This record gives sequence, structure tokens and C-alpha cells, in this order.
Amino acid sequence: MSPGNLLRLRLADAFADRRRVLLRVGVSVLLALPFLLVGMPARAQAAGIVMVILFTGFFGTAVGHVHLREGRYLERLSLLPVSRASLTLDLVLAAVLSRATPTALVLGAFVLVKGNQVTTGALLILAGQLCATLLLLTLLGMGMARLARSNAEVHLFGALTVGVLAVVSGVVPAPDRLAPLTEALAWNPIGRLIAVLVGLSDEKVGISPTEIGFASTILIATMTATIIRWVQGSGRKAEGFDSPDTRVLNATARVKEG
Amino acid sequence: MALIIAEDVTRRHATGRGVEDISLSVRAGYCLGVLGSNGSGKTTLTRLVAGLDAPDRGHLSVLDAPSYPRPPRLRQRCGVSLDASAHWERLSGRQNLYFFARQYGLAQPTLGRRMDALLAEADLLAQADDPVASYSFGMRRKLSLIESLVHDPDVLILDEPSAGVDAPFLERLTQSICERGHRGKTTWIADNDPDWLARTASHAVLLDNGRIEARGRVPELTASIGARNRVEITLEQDDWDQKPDLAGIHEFHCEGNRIDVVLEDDPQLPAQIIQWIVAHQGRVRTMEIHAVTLREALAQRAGRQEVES
Repeated sequence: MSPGNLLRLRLADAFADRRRVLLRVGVSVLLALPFLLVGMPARAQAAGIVMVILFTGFFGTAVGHVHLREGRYLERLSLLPVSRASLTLDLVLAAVLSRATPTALVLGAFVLVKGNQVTTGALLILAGQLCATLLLLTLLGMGMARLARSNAEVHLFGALTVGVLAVVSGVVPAPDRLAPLTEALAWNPIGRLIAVLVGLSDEKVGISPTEIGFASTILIATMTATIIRWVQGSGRKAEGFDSPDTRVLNATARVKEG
Repeated sequence: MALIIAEDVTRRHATGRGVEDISLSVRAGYCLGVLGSNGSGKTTLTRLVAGLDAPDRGHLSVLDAPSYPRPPRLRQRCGVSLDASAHWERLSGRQNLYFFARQYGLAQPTLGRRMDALLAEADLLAQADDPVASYSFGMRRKLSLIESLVHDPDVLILDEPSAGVDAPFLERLTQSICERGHRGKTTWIADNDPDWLARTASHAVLLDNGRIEARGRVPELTASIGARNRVEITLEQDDWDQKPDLAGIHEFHCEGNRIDVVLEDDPQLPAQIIQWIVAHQGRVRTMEIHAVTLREALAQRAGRQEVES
């Protein structure tokens, strides 16, 4: 692949090493396997699956971002004539897409094993909430990586953050005194994702127009941004700057003459 | 027209190191070599010029605009290669170079020709499709340098370019920088190799402890020292205090068992000094001969300025 922008570069890098891809997928599947195969209440199974997504999604992004900072990749990227917004968008999209593969496999396995009367609407909501969850975890992971000074700090604060997310999203039972907080935050993608998973196994997915609309919007927005950035990173001429082609051609001729 | 202008620029790190009250200007077509020992502030100053950090005090402008923050349109006219070459290791050298070339607006078919020419210049064409993880330190440095040159920038900023790269590539880099100068393009080089800088730069500054100690045009500086050698002699005994009365010796310093001599570029002179020392009961352990460099010329000028002031 010819990486014409940061999105293409990050994806090419993420999928260049087969062993690394297998490890990423394998770890998620292995961690989720007990919750798919061992008999336990549907809520416990869904909670287990969501915890796997929380850990792999959050830590994958945070550790990867610390590597970018400590390896001085971010510094190098900041010298490029590309807006910070474009760079951040590419980093977020690449992280979401590379995490989506293993998590989609795990959720697919859950639907196959536990799903009852799965409808298109329910699957659309599931995909939308997964996408929103991965976006949220990516942004939190990148934010944490910015604040932390080292990988050790990322792991320390990351464990606390994932714990807090799990409690406020209702993934793990919260103390009674936190009930108002968990109720107020029940709309968050992680809370909705676990609700959809429980609903899928109990045949009780509440397919409201709001939820369909939210899932569709998130999916369409993410896919549109990805397609636009993917096409922009193709071999076509870059837009927005004066083309340096002519002077570079002259410089190339001089290099060859030299 | 000056493309880089620094006026009383100061930047201090928490450790106390950094640069202080730096004032200089680099005109279009000039190549400024920044010399200095480790920790003298070369990298700090280079990062300021590259637009990575903001000065604590003073004014620094590059391409007629404040150096920090630098808008994308001006970043496109700069090429920067820092001392650490961050590459995407699982991707090939060609893919890494392609990424940087595309970010600077190059498109096919120019891009392919330019990449091949630069990879050939860096002697990396045969390994261009191998992952960067398999490259040696020097190959990575060369890749980083051609990445900064790929779009033929108006201002090229290099930090320690001579570190780890082979001599033929350094010579080609010298030619490329001189040729850039003839076309009115500016180059900033912070490096520790005074011999290479003497061949490459048009102007030089010597940094010491975060301040500019001396500055000047390279041809004048090299002419000021003439063709001289510096000989370092280590003796077995540490109580030597005699000075040889030989013609052609410009400076003679003796401290403990170490003797430092600056002398004419006469191949017989070092041997004559050794003979003289042995004849006066000196026992020589080691001797090293160096050409007197741009660093000494700048240091000499700094010493003269101090005396004058």
C-alpha cells in the first residue's frame, strides 16, 4: 500500500505484521472465550465481553499513543504541512478501524452463540454502539496518553479509568449511592452496548427510532470520514497547497546530473 | 533577504540548560553551520528554528513569520531532519519516503522520479522495499535526511546530519547543499563535525553554554588559521615544563603529562618535536595529529574578541 496520508500509513503499519494482527485478534478472542462458552447469566456474559472491549480498546490506543509520543513520531508529524485536525482525525480513525476487527469478531461470536431472533435493526444498533464505544475509548486513550508521562503511568491511570467507566456505565454493579450517577450516564455508548447485548440474548432489544438514528449517524459519519480520508490519501495530486512538482522536477534532474 | 532572524532569543530548560540572548540572521542562499560541544544548546536552538518550541523571550522569525506556531503553508517550505529519526519500522523505506513526499504535496509522476533519485543518492535503492526495521542506524539517518530534502524546501534544517552516515553520502549532501545555496535556498546545520561543516557551510557560529561565542564567514575563518596542524602528545612523566625552540610552532601548552602544540602544516615538524622531547629525556606514550579545524578558528576568534573587549 502507498501511504499517502496518516490514515493509510497507520493502517498499513497496523496490518503489515501478520504476527501482530494475529496477536491482536487472538488476545481479544481468548479473553472473550470464557464469556462465550461457559454457562452463566446473560448479563454476566455481556459484561465480560464489554470489559474485554474496554480493556483492549482503551489500553491499545493509550499505549500506542505513548509509543508515538516517546518515539517522537508526534513531533515529526507536527512539522508536516498538515493541519492538526487532519492528523488527529487520521489517528482516531486508524485506531478505531484496527480495533474494530477483533471486537467485531468477538461480538459476532456472541450474537451467533447467544443471539435470539436477531433482527437487522438490532444488528444496526449493535454496530453503531460498538463504533461509538470504540470512538469514545480511542479519544479517552489518546487523552490519557497525553496526560501520562510514561507507559507505566498509562497503565496505572488506565486501570483506574477503565474501572470508573465500567462502574458508571453499569458494566459492573455500582454501589447504591452511585445510582443517580449511573442512571444519568446510562445513555453513554458503553452502557448502551451492554444493554443491547443483554437484549439480544433475552430477545428484548428496544429498537427505538432514537437509537436507530444514533447508530446510523455514528456509522455513516465514521464511514464517510474514513472513505474521504482514504481517497485523499490515494496517489492523486494533493489539494490546498501550491504544487512543488516543477521545482522538485528541476531538483531531481540536478540530483541525477550530480 | 534574511529568512531566519533571531533577536535576543532565550529558551531555558528546567535543568537550566538552553540558549540565551541569541541574535543572528541567515540570508537566502546561505548555509549556517552551528558548532558547539554537547550540551552547548545546538539542538535547543535548532528546535526553535524548526518551529517545535517557542522561545521564552526574544523574537525568532523564519520565512518572514514567527517561528512558532508555524502555519501549514510555511511548514511546507521547510524541511527538517532531527537527531532522532522516527520511522514506521514495519513499513519499507520507500513507503516512509512516499508518505513524507505526499504530505509535502508531491504527486505522481514527479514523486516516483524524485524518490528514485534520492534513494539512489543515499545508496538505498537496493533496500528501498525492505522494512525500515532491518536498516542500520546510518541507513535510517540517510532515509531521514532524504525525507527532509524530498520537496526541495526553501529552508532546510538539519540536526547532526553527519552522525552515523557514510563519507560518500556526506560528500553528496555537501554538493546538494552548496547547489541549493546557488539557487538561493537556505540551510541550517547543527553538527559536531567541524571539517565537514568547513566544506559545507558558508557561515558558522560557535555556541558555548547556550551563547554565541564567535561567528564568521567560513572562508575567512579557515584563512585565519591557515594550514596548520594540532599535535597532542601524552608523556610517561607528568612534570614536563620545557618548550622546544623549533621554527613553525605557533602555540605550545603543557599540562601534567599532556602537551598540546599548534604548528605549521609541515610533515617533518611532528617528528622533530618528538625527537626534541626524547633528546631532553622525555618519554612519549602517544601522539595524535589533527588538522586545525573551524572549531579552533572560531575559538580563536572568540578568544580575540574577549581580549579586545
